[in-house]
Amino acid sequence: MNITISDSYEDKNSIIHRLDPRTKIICLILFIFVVALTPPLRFLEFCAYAVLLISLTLISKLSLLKTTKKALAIIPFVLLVAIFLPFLKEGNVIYSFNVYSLKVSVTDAGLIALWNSFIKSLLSITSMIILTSTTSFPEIMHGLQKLRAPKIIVMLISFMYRYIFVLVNEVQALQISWHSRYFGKKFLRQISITGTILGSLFIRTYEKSERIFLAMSSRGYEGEIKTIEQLRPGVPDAIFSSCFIIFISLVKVLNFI
Amino acid sequence: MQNLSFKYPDGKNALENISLEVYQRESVAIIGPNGAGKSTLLLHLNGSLGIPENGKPKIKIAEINLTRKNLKEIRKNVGVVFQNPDDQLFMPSVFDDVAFGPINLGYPDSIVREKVAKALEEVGLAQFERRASYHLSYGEKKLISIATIISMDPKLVVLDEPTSGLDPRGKRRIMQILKKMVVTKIIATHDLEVAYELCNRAILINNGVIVAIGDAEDIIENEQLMLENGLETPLSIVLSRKVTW
Repeated sequence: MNITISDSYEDKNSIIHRLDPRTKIICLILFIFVVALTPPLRFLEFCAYAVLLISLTLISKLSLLKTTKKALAIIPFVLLVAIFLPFLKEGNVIYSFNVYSLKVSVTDAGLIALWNSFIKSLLSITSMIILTSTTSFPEIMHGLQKLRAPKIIVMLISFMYRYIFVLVNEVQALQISWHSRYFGKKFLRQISITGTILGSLFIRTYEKSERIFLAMSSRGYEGEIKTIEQLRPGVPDAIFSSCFIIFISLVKVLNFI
Repeated sequence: MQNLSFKYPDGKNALENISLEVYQRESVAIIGPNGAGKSTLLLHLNGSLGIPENGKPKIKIAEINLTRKNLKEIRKNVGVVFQNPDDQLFMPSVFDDVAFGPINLGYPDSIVREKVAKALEEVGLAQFERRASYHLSYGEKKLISIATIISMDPKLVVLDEPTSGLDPRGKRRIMQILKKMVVTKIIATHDLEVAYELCNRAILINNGVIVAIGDAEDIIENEQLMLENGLETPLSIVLSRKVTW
């Protein structure tokens, strides 16, 4: 039984796909910083960033609709965090109403704060989606490693990503075998079975990790994972990153005039 | 490899006083029922389950004694293919996985690339370099597992159930690849057809003890011996013998 979980990488052939992952990671971080540091009321600037992302999506030959859908998936999370902001922030009251004896009012500063967190997270997430759809996971890991991200963290993420599929399949197998012998009722007893399942899952993972370690040391592992240089930043990378930086600076400069 | 003499008592008594010799370029099958100690035996061949102390037990591979000092040299010469390919393939991409061994052996980049390409070519998956291991089918994973060992050019290849869980086509493919490999092979399996076809000698173990060593055909065709040890002479072999007689 093999249930595949989709990851967001889409194997297409575009300029963006062929860029060095380092270029893309650096541009992404830069973009997120710039977006995060933009004052909330610069609507035109946000529009410019949105246009940038849309054109990147089109250049990458990704579907606009699909990308938007993926990006909108984060809205519930943003709302969860930011929904109370309009009511809690102090400022000029725009609208107020009574809930029983409690007076609730919406302030302008609060609304701005909501807009602020919404647009910034939306733009950042969209840019990340473009990165992960155009760069395969091993490539991102290579890029991070070459950018001197802490080795242990890169290793952790790689292993997690490699084995999450195996683990999920294992959970599903356990679950199916449980459900095929469970005929309803006795809810409380089922809770204790969940515990047993988690326990056996833990032991299975632990044993698996031991076997993986054996397999690694059989092939000469001595505490450090080495890979060979496969990345060669070229002219397209230089062009892309300079265009990217010029665009962002242009937006910034135009806004001041 | 000249002589592999091998003798040890395991703490859990998974194996008892096993001595065996395997000659260069030979194909040896280790057969036995589940839990007989086949995998345990294999894992001892590269010191995965502890390293002999004070020369006891004595394990010698390619004229090198297995000691803590020689461990690296031994692991260079012994390639182990684990039964579960998810244990064998731990890197994010196929290329990284196949390159893992050669890189650790200290080859320069250009040679690593060459070895990876050659190993993948040999298992017939040359275009798989950039694929992610977790998106492969089970049969493909098994093949890539073998490629991760081929790329290291070991003198002795040790395979744990290379054909288990495969459909007939996948099994045939693995057997063809193993047949082509000109190295010393030790194959643990309870698929006797595989042992019969690939190996010239067979070692039958049960409950951690060697029951029989000898010509693979003789051992496998001995129906009585097979049944006593939880195995069964494959029907194909039984029938073909009847026909030729």
